[in-house]
Amino acid sequence: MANLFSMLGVSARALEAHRFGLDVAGQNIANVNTPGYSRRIAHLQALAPLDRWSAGGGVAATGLHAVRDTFLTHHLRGEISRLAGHQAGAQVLGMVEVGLGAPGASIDAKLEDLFDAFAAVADDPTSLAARRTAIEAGAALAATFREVSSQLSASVREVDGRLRVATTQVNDLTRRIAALNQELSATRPGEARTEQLRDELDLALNQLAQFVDVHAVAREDGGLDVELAGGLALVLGGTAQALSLDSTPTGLATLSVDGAVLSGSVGGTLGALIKTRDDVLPSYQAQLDTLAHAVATRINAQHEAGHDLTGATGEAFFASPGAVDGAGSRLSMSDALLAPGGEARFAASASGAAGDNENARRLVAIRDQRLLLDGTATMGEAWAALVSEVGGGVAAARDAAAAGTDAVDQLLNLRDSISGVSLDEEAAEMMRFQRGYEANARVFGAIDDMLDVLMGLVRG
Amino acid sequence: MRITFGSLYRNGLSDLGRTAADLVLREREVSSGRRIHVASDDPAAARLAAAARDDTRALDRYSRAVDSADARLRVIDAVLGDVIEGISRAKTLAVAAASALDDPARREAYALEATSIRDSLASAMNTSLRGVYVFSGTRATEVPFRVTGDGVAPYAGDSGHQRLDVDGTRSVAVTMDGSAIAQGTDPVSLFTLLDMLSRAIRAEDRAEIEAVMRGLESADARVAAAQSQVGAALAEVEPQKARLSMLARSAEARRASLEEVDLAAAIAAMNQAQAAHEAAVAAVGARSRVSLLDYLQ
Repeated sequence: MANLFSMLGVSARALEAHRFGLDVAGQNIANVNTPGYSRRIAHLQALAPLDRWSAGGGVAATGLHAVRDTFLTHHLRGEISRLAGHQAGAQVLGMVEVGLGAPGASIDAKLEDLFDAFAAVADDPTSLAARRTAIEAGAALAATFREVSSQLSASVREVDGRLRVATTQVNDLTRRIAALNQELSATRPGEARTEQLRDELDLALNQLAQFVDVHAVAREDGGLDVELAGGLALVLGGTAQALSLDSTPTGLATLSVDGAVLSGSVGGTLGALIKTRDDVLPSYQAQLDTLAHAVATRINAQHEAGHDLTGATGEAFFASPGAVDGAGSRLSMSDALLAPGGEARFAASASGAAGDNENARRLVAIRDQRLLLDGTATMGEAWAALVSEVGGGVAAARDAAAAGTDAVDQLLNLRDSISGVSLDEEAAEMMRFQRGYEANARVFGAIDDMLDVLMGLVRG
Repeated sequence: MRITFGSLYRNGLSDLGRTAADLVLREREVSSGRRIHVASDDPAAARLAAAARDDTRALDRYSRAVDSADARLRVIDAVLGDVIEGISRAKTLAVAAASALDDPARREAYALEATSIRDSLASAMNTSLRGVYVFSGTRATEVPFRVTGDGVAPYAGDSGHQRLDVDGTRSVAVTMDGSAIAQGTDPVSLFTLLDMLSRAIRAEDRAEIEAVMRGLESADARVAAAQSQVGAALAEVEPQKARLSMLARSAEARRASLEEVDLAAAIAAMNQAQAAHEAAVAAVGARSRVSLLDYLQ
């Protein structure tokens, strides 16, 4: 049979339980801005009566748990990975786009300047000034090709540098996840420390997902094994598998895990950087080289078909571009034409007569010849196609990043609707536990009064 | 759905970021007057604008060629007019001389005048424009009809033509084969005819004077034909100027419509974006002010 003293115990436990509830609400409010924090819910359990004359044993705080949705968390991680990839791609391609120069002020303008200069020679084929202008226009075009090529090469190196930094960050994160796994294996479910470690683990995984698309597999000990999208293990329990960086002969880094070389399919920032460095930028560079090679070989061929001011057979206008690969970075004017007096070597004539402008006209006509993109594009159009392709890539990556941001925000909102802290809700919880505490304190006081009455009878 | 402090903050920040980005974009459009600054702003339009810009450059190039061709053809036309006038003077002189062969003083005066006409015609045919002898064919740096003590030297030019492209498919000859004008298929040149006239007057050779007159008639016809050709080329060049100008305006309008903004529309869009941003700021501020915590005692 419950007595007043046991009822005091019940009230004391109830006070303790409500203090715990208030403590949990306070913890939630304290962590309202903590990244990765999942709201905690206090577990209160009604205690069974000691005997049939007892209403019950009151209440006890049995622990707490954090509210999480594993499916949502997994989905969110995938979107974070995709978003980070699009953002990295947009950033790098945006840099490349700037390197190509402003529309109408880059290779396109220099090409037109050169054809303008050829036309000026055609207008006045014996003018040394017009010939010098044409040679200078050729030099300016070659310099612009070299500058753009250099910008593309610099972009490749920049991306490679970012890749190296990102690799270090990935290795730091996998080590941290492995350490958290180890700590988790030593804790028990329902403990505040366990939930804190799970939050930290989720946060670290989300950070890792920005770099690579990862798949987390729950372990029996509460930890998580982490795999890359292709199944390569990054973390197994308390052991992290580091990404290896090896330098190739070109000076660029190769990434591998346990001997397997990583490609752009790893997703996330690393995937985007690898894809941009190994596929996208080389493709742009190849288009630039093809254009530079076509400019040099076609103009050289026409110039060599003509005769200079002395009637001698024309020589190459540009220095030999060599192979297509790297032609953009090597394009330069012929030394003989650039040298003082080189104006006379400009081959404006087709017949050898000084006043013949036929070869200069044929040089101008190259502008409208469809020599590129399988005979479908002029030089200017091929350049516009390259600029448009880069611009399209940037726009697509930005659009994808914007869409990805929306998707991640939506998923974060969904996650928050389950795991996030609502201040209004916590305020209500505070009121609930505060009122509960006050009511139990009154019960405690009432029992104390009853005990006083009882003691008074004994004293009387 | 539970609304949390985190999602309120995130959504507010996202909304503000979106409206601020839109406002910055609109402000930039108004301040720069341009819709496309880099190709990624609108890749398809940027490509079309690049083509329009290249077209404008090419049309400007053709316009300059047309102006140059026009100037040269006008000079050639004027020179050929002078040559025709000179031949006419020579023919008049031949007729006058044939009727006054018995007067030695007049014969000598006529003979000297024939030589003078020869020199003036040679001088006209040696006309150069910006260092280019327009009757030397493609040997434009050579004086075509050098006058020496023995008369006019043989033609130093060639039979080619310097041509200028006035569009992608048409070109206009801007130098002429002086020999084809001065001699053509005749056995002697115009200058030799005048030398012959001078000698025939002095020798009182009426038959030779008549032969020279026939030669002058033939020369007259050649020069007139050449002038007609120049006139036809000028007639072709004139409308080409207007056509190129119209095409250039069209290409420029196409580029502008792709790259530049309609300022009135851009300003309206900017004001709208500004109002939207201000509303977003106010909304975010308002929703973050209300909390149940404010009502706890």
